Amino acid sequence: MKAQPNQGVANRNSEIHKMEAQLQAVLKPVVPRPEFVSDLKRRLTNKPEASVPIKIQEHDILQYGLLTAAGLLSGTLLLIFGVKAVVSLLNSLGVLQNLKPEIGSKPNPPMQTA
Amino acid sequence: MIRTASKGAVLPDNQDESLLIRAGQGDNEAFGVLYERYMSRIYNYIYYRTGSQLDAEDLTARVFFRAMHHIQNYQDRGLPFSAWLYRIAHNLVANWHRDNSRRKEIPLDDCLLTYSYQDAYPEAALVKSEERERLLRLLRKLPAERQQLLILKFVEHLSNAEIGQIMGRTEGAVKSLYHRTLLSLRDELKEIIAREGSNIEDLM
Repeated sequence: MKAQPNQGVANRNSEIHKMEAQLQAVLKPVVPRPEFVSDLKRRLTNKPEASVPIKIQEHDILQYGLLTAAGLLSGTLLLIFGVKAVVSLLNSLGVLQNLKPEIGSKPNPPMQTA
Repeated sequence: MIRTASKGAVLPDNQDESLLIRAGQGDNEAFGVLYERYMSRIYNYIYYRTGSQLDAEDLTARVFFRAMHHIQNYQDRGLPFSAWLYRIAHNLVANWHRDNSRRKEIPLDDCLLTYSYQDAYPEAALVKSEERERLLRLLRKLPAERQQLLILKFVEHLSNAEIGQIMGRTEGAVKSLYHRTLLSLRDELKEIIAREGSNIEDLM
């Protein structure tokens, strides 16, 4: 009477063993390319190269900050000197002096007619 | 379990202790020794999870760079160092799968050197390439932890206890998961074979 369950278990075990054999045949260890292995080791053990990624990140923030500050400063200076240059040029040509009275004198309000 | 191959890879992790201390202090040569010890295992794990040689190389490099940058934070909690590396690899592979919605087919064994197991396992010679591809496709459809278990078991030939340490499970839980995985693979295979058989009959 107990032969059937035992048979079932035996079948299941046999199928599992078959599956194990198939997996063993499929999942073979692979060997990475020797060039890859040696190159990665060189990159890992070479101190300057290995520490480059972190330093680059720190450097980047500092560099961006400095570049932005330098850009803003030089832009402002360029603007100031540019305006000064234009003003001095106009002064030398006498344009501004001619304009001064006109700028200073306010136009009279229009006369209202009765 | 079969422990004939890659015996050298399964080194007791207490040998790593001094290397880990030195590597944590910035000794790159010590890290190099750890790299040589574990690179192949991590590469194999990633290779079978991604199915691509190029991606396996890229992700293996990332694993070791990440490990090197964080080795100062590494804490010995009684787990082998390899468990930490596998955890990093597992996370990177998970990110890789998330980023690659388009699954690639496994270009297995092409251009790659493999150890021959045919002498040790005559079944290997009998497995046809079609069956192999089918089995690999099924394998890659399994949940990540089941894939990890099978890779550690069949590629690395680790015991249930060692796999448990890496996966953060008890030996019994690993044994149970292994059994359930094999049964589900068997059922899936049967289903596929039956489906393919009916398709052929339909064509005729």
